[in-house]
Parts: sequence; C-alpha cells; structure tokens
Amino acid sequence: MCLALPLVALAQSTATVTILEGEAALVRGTTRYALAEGVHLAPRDIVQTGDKTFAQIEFADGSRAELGGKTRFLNAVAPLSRGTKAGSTSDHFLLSGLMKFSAGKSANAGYRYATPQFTVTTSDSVAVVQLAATEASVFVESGEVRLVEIGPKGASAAQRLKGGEFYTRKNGQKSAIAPRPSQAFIGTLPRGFLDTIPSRLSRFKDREIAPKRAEEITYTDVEAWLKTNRDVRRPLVQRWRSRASDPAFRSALIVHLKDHPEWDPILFPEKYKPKEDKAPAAAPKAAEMR
Amino acid sequence: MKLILKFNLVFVVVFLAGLAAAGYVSWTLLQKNARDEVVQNARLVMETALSTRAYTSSQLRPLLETQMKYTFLPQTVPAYSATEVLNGLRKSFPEYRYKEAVLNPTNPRNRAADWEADIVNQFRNGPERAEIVGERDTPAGGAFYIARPIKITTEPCLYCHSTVDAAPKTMIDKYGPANGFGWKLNEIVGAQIVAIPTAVPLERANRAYQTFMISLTAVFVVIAVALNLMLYFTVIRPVTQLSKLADQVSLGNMDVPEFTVKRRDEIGVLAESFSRMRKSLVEAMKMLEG
Repeated sequence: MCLALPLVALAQSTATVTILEGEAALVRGTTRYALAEGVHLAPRDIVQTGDKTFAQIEFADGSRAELGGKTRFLNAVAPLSRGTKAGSTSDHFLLSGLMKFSAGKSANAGYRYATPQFTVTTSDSVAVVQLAATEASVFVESGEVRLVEIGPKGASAAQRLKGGEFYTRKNGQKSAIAPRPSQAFIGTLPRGFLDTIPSRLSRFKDREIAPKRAEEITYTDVEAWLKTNRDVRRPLVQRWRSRASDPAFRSALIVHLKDHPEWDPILFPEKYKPKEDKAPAAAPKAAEMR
Repeated sequence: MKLILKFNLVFVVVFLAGLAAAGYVSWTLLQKNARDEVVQNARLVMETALSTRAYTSSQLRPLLETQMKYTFLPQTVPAYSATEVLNGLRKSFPEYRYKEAVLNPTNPRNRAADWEADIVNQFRNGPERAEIVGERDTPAGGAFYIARPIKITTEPCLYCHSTVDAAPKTMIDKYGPANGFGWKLNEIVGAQIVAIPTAVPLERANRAYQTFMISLTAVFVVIAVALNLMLYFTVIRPVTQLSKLADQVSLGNMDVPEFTVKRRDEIGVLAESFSRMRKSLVEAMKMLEG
C-alpha cells in the first residue's frame, strides 16, 4: 500500500476556509489556533471540528471539502502520484468524521483523499465520506470514484463506485455496495451537505485573516493523529518532536509508546547511540517495524 | 271612487309590472354575471397554479437538485407544489377545488376520477381545445368546472416520466416503478381542473338579486308616499275645501268666508275664478232684490 502522503510544504496557500459554523481548531506546526472564516490553510495544516460544526474549505482549483462535526482533516495539497504532473492533483487525509469532497471543474485534475480504511481517487465526482466508530461509508453523489481498501495485508483491488452508489464497510467485516444510501446515513449528514452551496472564495481572495493563537498542542489534541496509520504519523514525528521536551506531552508519549514506537528514538536517544561493540542503526529499524 | 284611490291603484299596478320586469331582467343578468365572475376567478386560480408550476420547475427545482440525490422531495414536482399552494388558498376560499388529474400519475393522489378522465380524453381527442367549461351533477349538488390540458412540451418533464431507468432513483424509492412512466413529448397526459359547486354562483346571484329587489321596492314605496302626500296637499285638500264652500254658496249662504289661496298654479286660478263667480252671484242677487 502506498499511502505515503508527500507532506511537502508548498510556497503558497491553496485552500481557504470559506464557511465556518461552530467551533474548529487549526493545528499548524506545534500550535493550536482557533479557526475562523477566511483563514488560508497551508499544506499540512490540520483542521479539527467541534461536535456540531459545519465547515467548508475551498481550494484554488475549484474543488472543495465540506466537513461535518467531530472531523479530523489533514490538508496535504501535494502531487497525487509519481506519474501525475505536479500541481494538477491534490491529496488530503481524513482521519475521522464526515467529509464531502467536490472535485473542481478543471480538466485533467485528479484528487485523492485517504482515510485509515481506504483511499479514494477521482477526477470529476462529488462524494461523501463518513468514518464512524463502527463503520466507514462512501456515497457517490455524482460522477465516479475509485476506491482501494486498506487492510492488514495491504491494499485490495480497486473498486469503482458510480453516482448514487453507497459503499459501507463495518469494522471487521467485508464491504458492501448498495444502489442507494441508507436513511440512517442520510440522517447523520449536516444540512449543508445536502445542498450545493455557492462559492464564497472571492470574499476572502485578497484578505489575510490570521487564526487566533490558542496554545501549544497537548497530547490529547493530537492523540488520534499519533496513533493512526504509520504512513501518516511518521512525518508528524519531525513536525512535533519539539513537543517531546514538554513534560506532560513527553510522559503521555511514553505511556502510549506502543501505539507510536517511532517516537522511541526521540524520547530515548541514548538507546540509539552507536556502540562500539554493536552494529549501528539496528535499533531504529526495529522501531519502524510497526 | 276617490281620486287618491284611483291614483294608488294605477301606481301599484305600474309598480308591480315594473318590479316584475326589473326582477326578471336583473335575475338573468345577475346570474350571468355571477357565473362569469366565477369563471374569471377559476381562471385566476388556474393561472396561479401555472405560475407556481413554472416557478417550481425553473427556480426551485435547480436549487434542490443536490438534495434530490439523497432524498426525493415532492416539493420539486410542479404538480405537487401547485396543488399544495392551492390547498393553502382553499383555507380562505374553501369552495374552490383544484386537481391535476392525470391518467397515469406518479403520485396516486393525482389519478383522474372517471369524469376527470373523460375530460382528459376530450383534450386528447381534440388537441386544439384549450379549455373546457361545464357543469356536472354530484351527490352534493351541481358543480361547475373549468379544465385545461396538461401537455408535455419540454424534455425536462420526461426526466421523471419517460422510463424507470431514466427517473431519479430517489423518486423510485418513494413511489415505486409501477406508475407515472411512458409519457411522451407533446402528449396530453392530464388536465388541470378547477371545480366550484354550482350553489356558489347561484348564492351570489341570489344575494345580489334580493338586495336589488328590496332596494327597488323601497324606492317605489318612498315615491308612493311622496306622491300621495303631494297629491293630498296640493290637489285633494284644496279641492275638497273649495267643494264645501261651493256647496254653502249654492244653498244661499253668502256669509261663508272667502276661499283664500295664494298660489299661482291651477288650483290658485280655480280659487280666484270661484271668488269672482261668487262676487258676481252676490251682485246679481242684489240687482234682482232691488
């Protein structure tokens, strides 16, 4: 499975929060901010919404991501795959919650949004992804998507979902595709997901709105990210390693070290110092086994 | 027979004849006007329905297209919105009934009853007919109706009614695949029918007729009283007085007081002539006695 998100910082922001109803936090670097309408998102920014929040993020190419409540979203914005021209595709990562992703209108654009359970690639679709505690769902509102499941044995064969089809996969079970979404699924969607909201990007085009700084991130703020797929969490080690010097953060990392062993060299560097009588770099490889 | 009695007899005969003629003419006109008014109101109802249909299909439906991919909204159907709007109108005007009677409807409540199906078939057999106005007997009494054909003139109508495969899936979820399909472009599939009980125009005509006849009678009575008073004071009373005076003079009573009337009309001239005659008679008697 190739879910190594290329978290390369881009020089300019390509995403803007154009609607925010309710509270949401922005995690940028090692700091937590209060998100606001008009804030431009940088690559690798993390958006975490409150219980009943509705947020819309619009990208420069016309694509958009609408987020529901209790959602964790990583704005990656980077080339999709090795074979694709840089700048024509985008990657995003949804850790949990609800997201409706609408592709932009530009030709040759490709999009990929990954989750811990599957990755979705498309060029012209509108689809809703729900990652609940017990199941993951995808409803293709229009267009077509290609979905690749991620299991313990790696990625499965790609499945094509057409407009109107509804994919569900309960924890520990095989996936199922239904011709229509369930009423239970529709009932969980915010009203904003059911309408096509006109773009509000022009309102914030030439404005620079800074998010309000809250505080440095705590372990609880980012715990879910630290424990998710290895490919996603590994780049976060470098990003958040300075927080390891915070006693509370450090102690929490140590308590949950088995869930993110890649932090072991950061927490206990002495264990990884080369010793004269042992072969170097053996320990770090062991840490990456998980 | 006294003069006033003769006058009143003639007056009453003329009055009754005039009242009967006016009653007949006004009853005929009022009934016709009441029916015309009801027809006009029915056409207004019909136009309201058509405007609602146009608004729904041109403005409302496009806004709800996204929602229609999740749940079927009957509010986007022109026939449904027109019927609902006019059901609201019926709260203020309960006598008006509106129905979009269709031979093969999607929504069962629009299925044409037998007499409605006859009207639809009249339109289908004579496509040049733009409107049918008529009356029919019902168990609740006579009913007046006005009907116009529902013709499929644009392709978007067929989006929901051509084939099951082409129809929105959410619509099939709600109404099933059995009814409301197979419609063709330029086909007359139903009729808009506005029905009103016949009693409504008749009741209106009756109310106007009663008001008119009571007013007319009141005018005649006032005129009769005024003419009688005028006749009594200007003719009958002075003539009676003059008659009594003439009686006294004819019996040789020359001492009766003068009949003094300061009027320049025929009665005044008669009084002056009588005074001169009396004076002449007194002079003549004196000459005979001398």
